[in-house]
Amino acid sequence: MKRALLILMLLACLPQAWAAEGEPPVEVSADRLEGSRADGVAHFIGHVQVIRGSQTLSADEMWISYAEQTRQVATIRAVGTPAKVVEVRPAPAPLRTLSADEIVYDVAAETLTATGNARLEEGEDFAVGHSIVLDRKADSSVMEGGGDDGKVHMRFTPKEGGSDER
Amino acid sequence: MKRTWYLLAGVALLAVVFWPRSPHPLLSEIPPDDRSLRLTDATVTRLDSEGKRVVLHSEQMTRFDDGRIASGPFTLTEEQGGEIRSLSARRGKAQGDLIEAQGHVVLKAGDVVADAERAEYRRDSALIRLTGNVVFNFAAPPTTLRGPSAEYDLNEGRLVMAEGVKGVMP
Repeated sequence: MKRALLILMLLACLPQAWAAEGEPPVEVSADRLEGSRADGVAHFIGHVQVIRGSQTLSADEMWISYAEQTRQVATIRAVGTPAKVVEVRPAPAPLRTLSADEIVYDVAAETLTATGNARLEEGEDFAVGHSIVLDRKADSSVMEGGGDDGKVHMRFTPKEGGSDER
Repeated sequence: MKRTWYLLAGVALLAVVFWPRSPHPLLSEIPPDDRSLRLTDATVTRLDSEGKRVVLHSEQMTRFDDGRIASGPFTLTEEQGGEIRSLSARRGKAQGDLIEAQGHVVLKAGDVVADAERAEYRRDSALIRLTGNVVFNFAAPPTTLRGPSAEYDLNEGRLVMAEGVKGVMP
């Protein structure tokens, strides 16, 4: 169980990459963009892909909202079937993936919220539920159950000769 | 004899006064077969119906009798609500409120700078359509957007890039 919690804690690193200073710039591509300076929203539509360093977000649509005063990015909301964040880590670490119907990153709150068929994967380990909230400030993760039984489902594989507390 | 000299002097004076002068250099450039006005290094300033100050500067400009304007390298500057907007290009055509620009088109509006190969700007709707290697640069937050085409509403600050977009943000 400790290892399962550790997985969630590790996945809490996902929002850090979006906010960390000194990170490479964000590269966005999409089939279409509709942006409004007055509304402070940029709406990317179709085959949306966002790359920042080792992380890639793919989605069907994405909205970037800007704060009215500072014009800095306030929230990033991505929806897809599913929307997915994939982090490539140095070998031999496996890919780390977060997928859901909707993924929202709140820059000020430093939270990443995945809602609807939320799924965390790291190699063969996974956690599945209705929603996952990763809070960087609180360094915590909250997962709510979903599916037919309304429960959170997790799988983790203890390594031979290893410890669950790694 | 004196009378003859006075008469000659009078004729000479009349000749000086009424001798047909060569026309103004600008007017002399009007070809006899078309009623166009060709200007070099010209600046035209006017207030439009909304009180907006519009300045057109061009190195070479031809204004045809029907109101069309063909231009070489030009810069169109507008002042709208304290914001300076400018559109420049290597060549331009204008008729009514439609301005077509080609060749290294550069649009500046507030903290937005865009460049493209071609542009169609409708002044009545403040809508500009840019095509060909379109690059939009926003100052805040620093953002660069690239695509084959874009439509930008200068009044509303509304941007549509319908044929694909690639962007870089810090």
